[in-house]
Amino acid sequence: VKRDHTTGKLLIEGNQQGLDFDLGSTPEDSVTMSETPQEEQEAIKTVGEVITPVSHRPAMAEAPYVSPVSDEDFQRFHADRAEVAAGLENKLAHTTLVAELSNRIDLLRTLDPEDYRLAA
Amino acid sequence: LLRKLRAPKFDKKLLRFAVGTVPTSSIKSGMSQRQLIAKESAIGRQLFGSVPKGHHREFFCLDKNTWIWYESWIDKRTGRHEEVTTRYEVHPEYVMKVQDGQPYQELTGQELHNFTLAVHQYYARVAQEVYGIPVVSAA
Repeated sequence: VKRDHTTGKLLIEGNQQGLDFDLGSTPEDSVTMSETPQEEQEAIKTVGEVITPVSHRPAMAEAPYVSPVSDEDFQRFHADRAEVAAGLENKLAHTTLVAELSNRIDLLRTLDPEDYRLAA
Repeated sequence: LLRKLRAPKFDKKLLRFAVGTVPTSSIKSGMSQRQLIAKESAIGRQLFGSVPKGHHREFFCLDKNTWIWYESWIDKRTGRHEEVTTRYEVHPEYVMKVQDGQPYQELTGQELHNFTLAVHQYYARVAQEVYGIPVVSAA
């Protein structure tokens, strides 16, 4: 952290975007710069915790990007779902009919024709 | 052809592939299940159009969960006897196709539609021509 004594602004080194943070109009009423290296580090840490650029916040930076869905995409999605559902229904109908007919044929073999007529 | 189909060796071969055993139960009409299947298959093989010359085809319902398609022919180039047996397994929600050396394949789309039509025609004709029961509507 460096102070620009001309403008009175506090500058944070390493900020790639060159952002500065106006902490006050004069050096005296904003941040008191420490004299020793240890106190200076403490001051830097405090400033860093309080003032963090939005782009540096992990939660925001790692959030997945969700693109907006157009009406056309939305309708196509539902049409596809309806087509899949119809296909499954159609498959089930075919399979049910095959199972029913297979069962009837099996019955024909084991029952006397007269018994079959009565059962039907 | 009927004589050929009724040959015990041929029937047993198919039935062993399909279920691992040969049904021996008889029914009230006096015909064995194997004889009835042979009569049904004579109808079943006609459902898919004419059989190519030199080919032999069978299509029949083995039991309520299994259908069999069998086709054999002599390869003109090699002179070897070739045959393909396809088993269709009817499950509650799907029909599975099984062939020698091939992965199981679920019937879908047009193939499932064609299979259903064949089964429907098979039932209607067999019920009438083999069992003497006229079928107005199968479903």
